[in-house]
Amino acid sequence: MSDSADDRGLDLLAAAARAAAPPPTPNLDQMVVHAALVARNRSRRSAVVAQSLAFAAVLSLAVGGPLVWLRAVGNDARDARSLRFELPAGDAVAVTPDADFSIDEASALTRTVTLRAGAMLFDVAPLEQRASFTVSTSHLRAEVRGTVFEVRVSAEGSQVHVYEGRVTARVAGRAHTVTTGQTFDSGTGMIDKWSSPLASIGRAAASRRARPAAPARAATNERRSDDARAGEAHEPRDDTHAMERDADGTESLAPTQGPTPLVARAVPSAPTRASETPSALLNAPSPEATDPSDGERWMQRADQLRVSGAAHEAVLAYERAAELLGPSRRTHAGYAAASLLVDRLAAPERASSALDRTLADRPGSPVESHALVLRARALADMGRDEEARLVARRYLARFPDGAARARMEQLASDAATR
Amino acid sequence: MLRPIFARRQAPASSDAPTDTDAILRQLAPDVRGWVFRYLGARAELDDVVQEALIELASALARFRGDSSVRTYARRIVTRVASRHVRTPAGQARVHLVPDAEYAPDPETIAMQRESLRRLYGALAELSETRRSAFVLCAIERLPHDEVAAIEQVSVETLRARLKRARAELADRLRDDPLLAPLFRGGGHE
Repeated sequence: MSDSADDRGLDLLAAAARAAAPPPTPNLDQMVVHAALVARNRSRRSAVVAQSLAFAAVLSLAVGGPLVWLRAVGNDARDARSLRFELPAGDAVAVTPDADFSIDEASALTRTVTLRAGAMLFDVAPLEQRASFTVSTSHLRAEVRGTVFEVRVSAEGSQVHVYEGRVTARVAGRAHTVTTGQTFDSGTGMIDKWSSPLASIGRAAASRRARPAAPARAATNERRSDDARAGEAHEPRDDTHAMERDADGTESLAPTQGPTPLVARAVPSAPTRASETPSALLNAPSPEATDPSDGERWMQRADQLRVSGAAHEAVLAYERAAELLGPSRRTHAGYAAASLLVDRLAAPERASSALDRTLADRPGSPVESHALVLRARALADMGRDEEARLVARRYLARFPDGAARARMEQLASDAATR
Repeated sequence: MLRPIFARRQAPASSDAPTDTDAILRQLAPDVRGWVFRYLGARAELDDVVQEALIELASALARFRGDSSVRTYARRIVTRVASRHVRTPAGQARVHLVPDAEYAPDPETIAMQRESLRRLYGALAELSETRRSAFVLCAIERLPHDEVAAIEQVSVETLRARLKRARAELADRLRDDPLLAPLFRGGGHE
């Protein structure tokens, strides 16, 4: 292929990358404040390390017993974003430098933590039947049974984010169940956005819990072949971002194992015959199995399946993503699934159910206008003409200048004349 | 109320009052986020890396000697942080949902565009750090070559050589990808 063709392809891709914008975040100011504080505190890091050693000594003296001890886990002197340690019962904890907390009790049966400021991430060992693990702030109390979660306190309130498992958050006596991928705010309830300097640690810990133990030989061979394909040696890393809870060294996400093969498999190593895009994509390599606890990865998986023509599998993946994502993201997954069900799989009833479950066409949904169009089409396909007409009218009332105006006017007109 | 066994109190800072550095950091923060986004692609851990970049930048600004512009200095630090993240186990491309405001009516097009960029960034992750930075800063960010040379602290000639090799390597990796081949043949995604 000529250099000009190569240049054209790369320039098109570069232009697409340049046009893409990062998703909005409400946390940028908070991130700036955190960065400024951490930068100032870096000079005091040696004092923090000494303090953590003192913490270990005090805790072991206070709780007593030769088996009760505190172990600093994976602390990297270069990582000023968190201090990590392990409680006597095996729970792993990470705290931000600005955290103000107390470990009120740390026995095998009862673990009680009070957090007054900052954030703490917990990777809680599975509890015995009578055991309890509670984190209290001035706004809420979080009760867990064995999970990976984070609690953050600010002047405005407290938030609980669950990376894996289930947490009961009690506010003013009312219990709220927070499951994997969800974030609960003591003042506003469930929220969509979550960003935290401890998030990478939490996700890594959740991945370890969710991923089943892979056969050691298969994982090793896979890693060797990808090392050979990548053509570079992977050295063990000292920088641990995951909670080192188990000794399974075959986990591909374990930081000491080197990069995973995901990217190498995403790009085919051998040329394929040029053909029209839709059929050629059937030859695209199968993407990596996704982390079952991550809704965004299920979305990615669904997109890849869609692009490769596997509509039925894509629908299943979108539906799984919808179960894991927050309210706003869920609407995208529902709409994406419903569009495949209407356009490719001729399943309008199931498409309507997908829109129902994810509230994709409710007022205020980020995909409301598109989902209304899809709803109207699905109803028309099911022969429910009067309902289709009503939805078309709702679209025209809500979006009088919408891109689908002509189509909805036609649908409303057709339905009326049948 | 149980008596706390141990309580860790926030250490009093010698000075937590806002400084000029804080103002510069706040001013640069949106750009920093955009730089990281375009260096790494759309990833769920974007803000983790942005946070790390802001922390390094906050420390580095205190040492800034004024031998380049603040933006060039900041770009250099942010590029280094983002580049470091590409090689970490958590740094593999995981594209997440297109922002709500950009959601187009056609899910097929969105999925195709998203997958195309994912493959681009996957191929970028395979390049050496120097070649990757050259391509991101010159081809994606479209910065002038002399500015990129200042960021990378190399001569313009060296930068151009890196860029040429980066483009050649990316083309080798991507031109036969079944999804991307139409772009190289003169077609495009609809």
